[in-house]
Amino acid sequence: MKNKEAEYREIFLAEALENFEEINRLLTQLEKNSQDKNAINALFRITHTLKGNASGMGYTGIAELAHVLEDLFGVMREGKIVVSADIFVNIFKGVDVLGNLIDAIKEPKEVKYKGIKTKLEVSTRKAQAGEVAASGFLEEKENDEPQLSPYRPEQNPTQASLSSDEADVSGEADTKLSFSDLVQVPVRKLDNLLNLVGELIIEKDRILASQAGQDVRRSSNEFARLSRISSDLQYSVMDVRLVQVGFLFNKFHRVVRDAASIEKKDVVLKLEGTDTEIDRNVLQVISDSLIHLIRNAVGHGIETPEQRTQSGKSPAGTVWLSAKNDTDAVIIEIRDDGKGLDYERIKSKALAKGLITADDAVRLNEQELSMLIFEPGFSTMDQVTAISGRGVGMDVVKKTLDSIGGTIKVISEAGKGTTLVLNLPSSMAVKSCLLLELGQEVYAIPLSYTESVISLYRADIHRAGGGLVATHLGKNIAVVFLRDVFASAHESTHGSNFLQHSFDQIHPETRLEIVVVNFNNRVVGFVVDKLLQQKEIIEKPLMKPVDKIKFISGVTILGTGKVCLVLNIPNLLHYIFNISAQGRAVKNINLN
Amino acid sequence: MSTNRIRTLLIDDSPFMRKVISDIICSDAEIELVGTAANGKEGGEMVGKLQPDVVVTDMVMPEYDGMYVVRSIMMSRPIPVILLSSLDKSNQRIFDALKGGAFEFIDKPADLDAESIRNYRLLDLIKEASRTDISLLAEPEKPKVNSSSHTFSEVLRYEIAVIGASTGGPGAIESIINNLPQNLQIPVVIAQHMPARFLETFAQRLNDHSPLNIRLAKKGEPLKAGIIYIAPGEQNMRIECNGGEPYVGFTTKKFEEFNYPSVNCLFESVAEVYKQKAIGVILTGMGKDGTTGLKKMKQAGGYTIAQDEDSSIVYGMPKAAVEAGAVTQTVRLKEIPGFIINCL
Repeated sequence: MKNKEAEYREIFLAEALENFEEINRLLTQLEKNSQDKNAINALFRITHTLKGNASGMGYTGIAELAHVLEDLFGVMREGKIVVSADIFVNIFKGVDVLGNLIDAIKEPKEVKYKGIKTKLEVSTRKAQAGEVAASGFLEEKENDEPQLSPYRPEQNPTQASLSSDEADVSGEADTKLSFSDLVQVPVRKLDNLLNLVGELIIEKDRILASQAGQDVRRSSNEFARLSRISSDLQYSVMDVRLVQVGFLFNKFHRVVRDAASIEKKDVVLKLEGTDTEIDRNVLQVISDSLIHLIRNAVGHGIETPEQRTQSGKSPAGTVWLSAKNDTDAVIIEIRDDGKGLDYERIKSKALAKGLITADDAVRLNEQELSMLIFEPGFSTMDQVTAISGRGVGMDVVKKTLDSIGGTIKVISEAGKGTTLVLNLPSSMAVKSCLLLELGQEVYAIPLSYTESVISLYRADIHRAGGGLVATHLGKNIAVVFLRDVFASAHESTHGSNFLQHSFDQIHPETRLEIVVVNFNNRVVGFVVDKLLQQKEIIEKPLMKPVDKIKFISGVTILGTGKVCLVLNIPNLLHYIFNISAQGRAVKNINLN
Repeated sequence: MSTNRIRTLLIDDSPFMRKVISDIICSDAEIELVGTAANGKEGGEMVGKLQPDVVVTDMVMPEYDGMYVVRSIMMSRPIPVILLSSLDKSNQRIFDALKGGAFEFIDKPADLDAESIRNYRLLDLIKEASRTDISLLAEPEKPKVNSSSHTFSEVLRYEIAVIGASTGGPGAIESIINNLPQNLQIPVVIAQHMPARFLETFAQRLNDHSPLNIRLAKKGEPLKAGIIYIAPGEQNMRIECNGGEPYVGFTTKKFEEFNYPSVNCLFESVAEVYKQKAIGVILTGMGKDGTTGLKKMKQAGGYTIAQDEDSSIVYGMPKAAVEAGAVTQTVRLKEIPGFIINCL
């Protein structure tokens, strides 16, 4: 019974959260057009369902609050209530409390709801007042049967035009017992499954490697099949973890509405590509960042209605949130039709904060300038507003994206608007990597960071400041011997020119294998001993006590049974640019 | 894998409720859940494909609701439909659906602990539904309201008629009331098993369609001839008398078979107050509420009638009464109004 209860609870919670979002979405829709009958009907139905489910689970708070909302929407449906801004304030408040109550199921906390419940009841009763007086039948009732509710709006659940987005449920006539075709699985179970699949893949690679060379003809067929099945399995499991971004996007109607109302701006949110699929964990990780970016678009991007009218735009601003697939990645764009980035102000702010030098200010192009907004402690808004925050957000957004191997780009046109382009991995579990050898160890660099692989002679590389530089595709790039970085990191006694250490020792005619990585517009060529192959790996996070190692993001096991370390490119670059910042050698080169 | 299990289809738009109700249905060895659907349209299609014996459907769903399910099933291949409702207030639509041929409605489970689930009547309802004669539900007769007068004798042999009903009762009661003469000379008191909040709408609807005055009984009001009183569902209703006119009383005393409103409670009080001057009628319904009350009425000299098996949607309460020897006469539903009048 205990298990069953827990199971019911999880299903209830999932559905309640879905209901909650839908309510928010519909409310914003209704607020824009208070005559939207479909929205009212759907709101009525959803609060109704939520109430029924909650009372089944014994969550009286949710049930009671959903109930008064249901009543209110019931009255609204019959047009007996004037849908005023005043009422919306209360409804939104009520819905927020409802959300808190739902959250409280997961993490018990005290949520007060009686106050808002009473307020909503009063609104409903006021609307009903005329009705009650008109019906003598009911008035009499009240005298001796106080437990009967004194009002009874007629309820005609006319058909709401909202399609249910649940999975299709088809019949299984032959099975003994049949259940819903939709199975809800806690994410941790999927994580576990994916882990096991990862281990299976590794084991498969190990078997294949150990058999290599031994009687290939007889067994190659079996191995091919094993390979195929295990890789099918891996992709199926990954597929299960994909969710539609609409799941997250739909939450933003409310975010935009709240942000706009605080800023006293008129903003419409438009969603595109909501059926694009992305790994659920990726979505979870970036959800807070997206909230921040959306709020920024409303707070910083969109102008006030007066300003907009002055510049010949429609008073209502638009924010687009769109998603699309791009091979292995998912691109999410947040676009607004606001005033665009003010590069001059960014420049002066960055100068004032000491993020760039006066030299840089002259030299930096717009793209580079726009990346400055992601620097810690940067904020262009002279006035800090409640919505856009205190400028602590953008660098956090950036860090979050770094942590999952995503990137962000800003495109802005003065007066026309700003577009933020987020490039996200569609799955966090499997990474395409480039395997390389360095000092007898095998390392992996995620392909999302690698720009190209080149091979240069020592003569093509030149000293510049404390570092090295080479010309690649007409651009100067910094070149770093990975070996030197590692050596410097654990000796921590690096001399002034330690980045040229290996360079000084090698023969002038040595051919060098270089992996060019790009992160945040910082391009560095890493010199390695040997390039091995491109391979999809299942990266496992580092466990305690080695989880604090900066240059390594995780590990995987190769078919040979060897451990392969996955390099943490963002941290590596950060380190390199920091240690060379004194001489500014590498940084200057990079900025060219 | 007995082929005799009752093949049941469940339609509900809430995954949570689907799971909860599925689990309840699957807990009974006699019932087989053949499928679940998320809305009325899908449900209607699955009925055609799976040919279930009984359909359990939510009332409020997007686009295609429970009403749609009832209509489409009754038009194509009539089978019993049980409605799930969690509407807190009276809902006209439930009655429309009942009228449209739905077997019965039941509240969604309000509590999921083992005890409440055990007491949840859905499983019994499904079983009764599977046994019912669908033709009784499929063709709801055109409501023909009797608006003519009847010439009553000057001295009536009976001073009250009491009626008890459960599953299938709303339709049966409507049919009886519609065929009573408009100059009815006695009070009629009815106890219909139904959640309290629906009874008010029930009474209202009956009243709207009949020239007779039909209303929920109120505490302390004296019974008047020609008025039809419906027992409200907050307490058990009884008829009391302190030497003067009999009047309406209530008690929170619980009765064994069914509570709020209990048919036994009403019948027993009528037997005490009216003795041989009462007619008792037990109509279609699950269980055996009314049997002991009707027996007391008969012992007190009253005339007792039971609806016959063929016309009963659920031949449970009438059967129990007949088997207990509490019934003077078994009568077809259509003939009950005339029979009552002729007794007077």
